[in-house]
Amino acid sequence: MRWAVLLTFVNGAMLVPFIVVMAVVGAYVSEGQWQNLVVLVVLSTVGYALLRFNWPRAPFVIGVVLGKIAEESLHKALELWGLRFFTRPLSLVLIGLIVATIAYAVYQNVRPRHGGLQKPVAS
Amino acid sequence: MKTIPMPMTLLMLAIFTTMVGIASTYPSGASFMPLTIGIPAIGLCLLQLILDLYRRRAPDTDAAHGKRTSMSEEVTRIAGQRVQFEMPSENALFTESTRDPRETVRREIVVWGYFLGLIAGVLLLGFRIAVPIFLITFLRFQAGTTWRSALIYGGAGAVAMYLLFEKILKVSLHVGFLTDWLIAQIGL
Repeated sequence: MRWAVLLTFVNGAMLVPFIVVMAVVGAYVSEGQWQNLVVLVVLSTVGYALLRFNWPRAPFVIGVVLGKIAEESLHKALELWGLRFFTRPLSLVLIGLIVATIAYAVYQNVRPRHGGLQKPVAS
Repeated sequence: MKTIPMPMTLLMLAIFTTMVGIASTYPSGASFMPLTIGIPAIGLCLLQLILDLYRRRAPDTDAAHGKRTSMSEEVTRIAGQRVQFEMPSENALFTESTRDPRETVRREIVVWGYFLGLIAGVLLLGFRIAVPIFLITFLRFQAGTTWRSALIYGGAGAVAMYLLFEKILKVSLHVGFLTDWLIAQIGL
């Protein structure tokens, strides 16, 4: 597999059209409907807006990919446990981690740093 | 310093508020997930708005002094010795930080044009016609290859796509509305 290293020397501008074509073909063949290409343009616009305004794209992608699975799993969990699902130990741990992550991000934004630099919430 | 501009926060707040407003008219089972996502998201947008306001009141010290520290200068200061990052020189399409912002915008508009052109081409003419045209023109005019290389690489890419999807995976790619109409008119 040593030859694979050669790929790192390929000019990025030459890879772009092939990657774009694969993305377009992938969007089409996922359901075999041309409407998926319109969805691709819409989501590309959203992604570009996020990039331009310095919003993180990773949560958006994770949300699009895992959203359906999360919704189905949430409904199953609610059927099994009802609203008590949110007070189960594992749920409480996950909720605690989410709250701690948000609190840490806020703390990083408001605390004074060397030279007055502040880290953004999302980078 | 990267900052999250307030207009984008307001836009996201408007999107989530509309989403919650629409979801609240749904039956309870259907509205649960949108509300579970939407209500915390509204809270986070409000929090982000507060942070945006806080940043406006306490601006970046370096920026306030009209000084812009690059990443290499920041690392040099922390490490205590000169550190110079290597920037890719060949890959001019992605060296955004060293380029004039207007040039970046111009290039982005060009790439968007190619992308939307490909989508329009696929919808009207189909994959078999639009993909080779896109590959060859992009390689020739954006990647700066010769016509010969562009034709070889673009043609090979289009043939590989055709063989992989249509022959091996047996996926029928979009023929194109215009092509479909023309074929029907000719009677093939």
